[in-house]
Amino acid sequence: MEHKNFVTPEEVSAKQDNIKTLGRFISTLTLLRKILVPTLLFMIFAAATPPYFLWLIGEMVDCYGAVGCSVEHNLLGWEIVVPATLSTLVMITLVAMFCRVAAWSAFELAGQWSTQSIQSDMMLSISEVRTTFFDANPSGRLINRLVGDYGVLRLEGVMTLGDTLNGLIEVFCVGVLIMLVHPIAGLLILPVVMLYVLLQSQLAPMMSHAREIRAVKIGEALHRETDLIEGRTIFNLYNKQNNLLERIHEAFGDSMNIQLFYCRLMSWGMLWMGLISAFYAVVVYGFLVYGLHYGLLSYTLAAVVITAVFNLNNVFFGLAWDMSFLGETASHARRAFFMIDLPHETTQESKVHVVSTKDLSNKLSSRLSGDICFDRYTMSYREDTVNILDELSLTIPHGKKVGIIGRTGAGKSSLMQALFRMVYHQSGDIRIGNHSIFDVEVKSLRRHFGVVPQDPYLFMGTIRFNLMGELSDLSDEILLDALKTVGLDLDLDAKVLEGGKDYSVGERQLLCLARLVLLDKQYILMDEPTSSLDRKTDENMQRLLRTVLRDKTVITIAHRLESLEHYDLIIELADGKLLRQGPPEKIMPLLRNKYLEEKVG
Amino acid sequence: MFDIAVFANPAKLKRDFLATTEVKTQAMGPELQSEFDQIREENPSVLMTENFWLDFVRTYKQHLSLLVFGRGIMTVLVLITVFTSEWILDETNTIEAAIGFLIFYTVVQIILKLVNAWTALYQSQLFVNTRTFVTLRVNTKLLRMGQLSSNDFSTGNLKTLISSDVYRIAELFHGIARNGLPCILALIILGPVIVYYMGLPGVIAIVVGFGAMPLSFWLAKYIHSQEELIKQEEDTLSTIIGEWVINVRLLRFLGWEALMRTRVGSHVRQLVIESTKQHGVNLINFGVSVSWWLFPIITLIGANQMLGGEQDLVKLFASIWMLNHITLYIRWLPDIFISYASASACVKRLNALFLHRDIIDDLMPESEDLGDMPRPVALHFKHVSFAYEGEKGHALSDINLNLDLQSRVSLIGRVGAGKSTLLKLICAEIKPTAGQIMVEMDDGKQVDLWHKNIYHLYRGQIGYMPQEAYLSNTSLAVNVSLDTFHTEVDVMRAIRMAELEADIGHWAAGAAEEVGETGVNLSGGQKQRVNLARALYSGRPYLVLDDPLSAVDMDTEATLMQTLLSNSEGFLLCSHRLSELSKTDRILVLEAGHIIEDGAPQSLMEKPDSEFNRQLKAGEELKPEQEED
Repeated sequence: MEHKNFVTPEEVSAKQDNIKTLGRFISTLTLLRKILVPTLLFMIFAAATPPYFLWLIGEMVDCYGAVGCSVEHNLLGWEIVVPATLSTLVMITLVAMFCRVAAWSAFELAGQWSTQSIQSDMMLSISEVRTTFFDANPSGRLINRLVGDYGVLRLEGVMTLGDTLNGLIEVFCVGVLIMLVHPIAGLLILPVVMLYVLLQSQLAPMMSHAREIRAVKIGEALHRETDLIEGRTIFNLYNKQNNLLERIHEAFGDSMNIQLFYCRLMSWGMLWMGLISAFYAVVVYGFLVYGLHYGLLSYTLAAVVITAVFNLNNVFFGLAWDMSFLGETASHARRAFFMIDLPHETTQESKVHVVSTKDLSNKLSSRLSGDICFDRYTMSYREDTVNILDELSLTIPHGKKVGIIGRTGAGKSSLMQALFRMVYHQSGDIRIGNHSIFDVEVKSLRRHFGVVPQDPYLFMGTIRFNLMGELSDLSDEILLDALKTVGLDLDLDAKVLEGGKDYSVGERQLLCLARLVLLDKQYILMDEPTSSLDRKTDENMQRLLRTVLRDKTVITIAHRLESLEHYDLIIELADGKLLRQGPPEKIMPLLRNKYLEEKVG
Repeated sequence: MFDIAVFANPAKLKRDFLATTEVKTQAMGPELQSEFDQIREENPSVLMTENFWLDFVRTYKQHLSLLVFGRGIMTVLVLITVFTSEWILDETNTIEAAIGFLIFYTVVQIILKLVNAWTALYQSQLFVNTRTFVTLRVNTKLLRMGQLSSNDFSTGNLKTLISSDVYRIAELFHGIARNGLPCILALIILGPVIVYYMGLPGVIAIVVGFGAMPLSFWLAKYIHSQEELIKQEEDTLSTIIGEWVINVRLLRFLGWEALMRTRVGSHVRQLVIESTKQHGVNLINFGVSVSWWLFPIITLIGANQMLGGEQDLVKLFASIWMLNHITLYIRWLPDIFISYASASACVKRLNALFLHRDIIDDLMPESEDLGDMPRPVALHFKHVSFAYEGEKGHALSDINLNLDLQSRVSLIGRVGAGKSTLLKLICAEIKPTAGQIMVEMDDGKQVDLWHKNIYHLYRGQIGYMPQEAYLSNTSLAVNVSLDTFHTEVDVMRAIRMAELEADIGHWAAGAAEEVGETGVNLSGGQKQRVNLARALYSGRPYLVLDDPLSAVDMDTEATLMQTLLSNSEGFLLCSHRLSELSKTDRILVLEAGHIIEDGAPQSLMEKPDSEFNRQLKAGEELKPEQEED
């Protein structure tokens, strides 16, 4: 049985430490830990009070008028005692119920609230892991972990824990009661519990595995349904509807089959659990009949035990049920902790500079300034992949406008990522001024650069959000000014859809420029979009380079000739090495010839 | 009838379990299978009549009656237990009677558990049947629908329909089977007995049993409304985290991680707050329902006392027991009402889908005007206009165009000029709102394209590559062939022709490699080439290509163009990049829904003021290329 993404290797290796994982899960629930003791007391109170009270009252009422009774009964009459007892019993039951619900609420709500920290830890870890991690893990899976697994932990995880705990407490209280009444009947609880455990050990793994398979199968069926919804025109055109339908129904049939099997497992388990508890109940009744017949028990006590045993049936059932989910909670928690435990990006960054996170705080975080100098710098994306930049040496002079050109795979965008230390550093060095960038704490290094990305993605929200970023305390005037500078006329609170698809590429590009204007960074990295911009955006861009960005070092990864005309330096890369460099007057004619050659050829 | 699986031993169950993933049992059931075959025969009236509920009951009457039967047996068993215990206890009060009763009780318990397990199977079968019933119909309908002009059925809406709507309807049936039915049966079978035993107090107690309903209903409604809110919050959270995960490099460039963390954190908090509210109310609702069973009993005893009714303790306790049996199910009734409300909304949506017009409905009857072995050779547009539904103005207006299906034509124009619309019209994906498209056959006859037989004949000649084509979450080979039954050789040939061979060279599984959801494992250029490979694999003589090369680099573009020129009889290529287009036979320039220029590339280039020339100059690019990591 092979399933893609079904169980990842790291999960297999960690399969056996359920208890450890659950322990860690509980320890992360801080708010819950604070109120755990009173909650447990409430649970015990709710579980113990009604049967014990009933017993106590029953015994008191039972011996009324009996020979050898030591209790003083003549204070109140029978007509008052019975209704008073009954109404007190009802009250007690209600109070117990209230306590139980209160304890559950406290446990589950506090638990749910506490799980926020798990989510934020995951996000923290995601924000500090190497970017290549995201290439290896499809976004769907990551979203599933960050939203799906967290969702399960938040709700079902906490609920399962609470219900299991509550079930255990109830079994304990009733067990003690029965033990007090008749030790042998009480001891019988042990084999019954063992039978349950045995059954559970057979059933629970199968059920949880069936649930996993079901989720995978349902996922597959959904993929096929998506084919139908989104790809039906193409399937129709090429007359492949029947094959698609067959595949859909196969996937759907599989998911329904596993669903049916799961239900079969459940009704099977329910049957056996029911039979076990019926058996237990009958045995206890036998003891009661025996006890009553030989006068060893009072009728009231028998009634109390019957009630308790009835209740125990449900409790057992619930307990067994919840326990089968504990394993699943553990596996979700394990996945969440896997995300939390991802290594920090700097720990796997370089062969040359082995930097421990501890040292980083002492590293200089002053403002870097000066030429950017690549010194025989070699990098790859991962430790074991091919080198993209290969012993590259070049200098980007301070305050100049530099255009980088080269074919696909020449290493242009890798250059940008290298400056951000997002790649694997094989050898050589990059210096800004007199400092190696590897001596600077990575966050403060990144703060030196302003970026205009190739694909000007806007985030869902407002223009304001997309503009301000980290500077949340800027006034509206400054923001509007920045927009005006780049030639945009937008409302700050205008809605932006996911990706900014409601704005043109040009507008998005300009918005990224407005961001730069606000941020005032010394080093600007621009990745030109491949498709040509409209004239307005282009003109605005050129104007900004001459005005606001006059004194900045601007590095542009260029795709078009005319945008480079006013630059100070053009650098051409080939295969990760410097091919040639020079001022535009020198380089441009060469490039034009080359371009024309290619066009004619 | 009786499912032996209920008695199965663990070892057998385990074997079954291991086999489950391989065994292909009939989840569909024979009655559905035959009906489904009928639907496939394009018989829309079978899809669904006006009354969904009736249809469902009719289809599954056997299942449903067995379910009612099982639940009925369980209720009757309760009644039998009451009568028997009364009889035993009435007779005598000896130890033998007590033991006899104990044995009887044991037997009844075992039968009850068995029947319960048996009905549970039918219950789950019902759950599965409901989903099958709806899903099969939706699937078939979707396939018949083709291109949708209506926005009511966006991708998102359809996905909701197919997953959560179907599930909700199934859930309603499940709820009815599990709680509604037993409740009604208990009321019908046990109710009269209680009233017979206790008289008026019995009636009062049963009424009190329903006393918590308004409160529960109100609480349950709140819980359901919160559910929507929580789902929205979860969707927002997924979107935000998705944005993060997809743009992780951009975020590092911007240094926005902390900002995004705060953002995600605030949404998580919002989600937890809403969820906590819902959960809290849920617990209160639970508290109310689990303590409410006390009140009917108290009422019964109290009313009996006050009205001076039945003094027989056996009858009183029997009534309490039966009363409990009814009230056990009452607490779930509000949920059923609420899920009925949401399910009927879902059914409404489903019906709207089923009533939606299919593209097949637009076809004219078969044209008689056909020779032997006809073969389309040209397409003639006669005053063709097209307007999108709900949009003002025409996307295309009054197009007159003769297209030779053996020539290589390129189409250019600005964004929004109507290029994609024209291509869709040529592929017969959409029907013109005015004018006529005629197909010319090799015997010189011209027939309207939208005749049933002509439509299918003509479409069989066309390979279409849409601008943003869909990639399925399967292997590359299935994506290319759109079929699980494909020959390796043909797929590899198409892959080679689309210049994908080098790309898959270092994939572990080669063409069997999974492309991921919507092709996440591929770059933009690779996705385009997969789509091209799809068109090439089909072997269709005429290709309609909507901007196929925008994301591939220049060298590849030139090679692909060469492949197209040498491998297809004719094509229509729409592109933003002009450099390669001069190799085609004819260029069409489209602007604002009109064809403004039409001619050979050479003749257009010679005209200095032609739009083609103007665009050629404006778009002069330096090494257009796509970054591919």
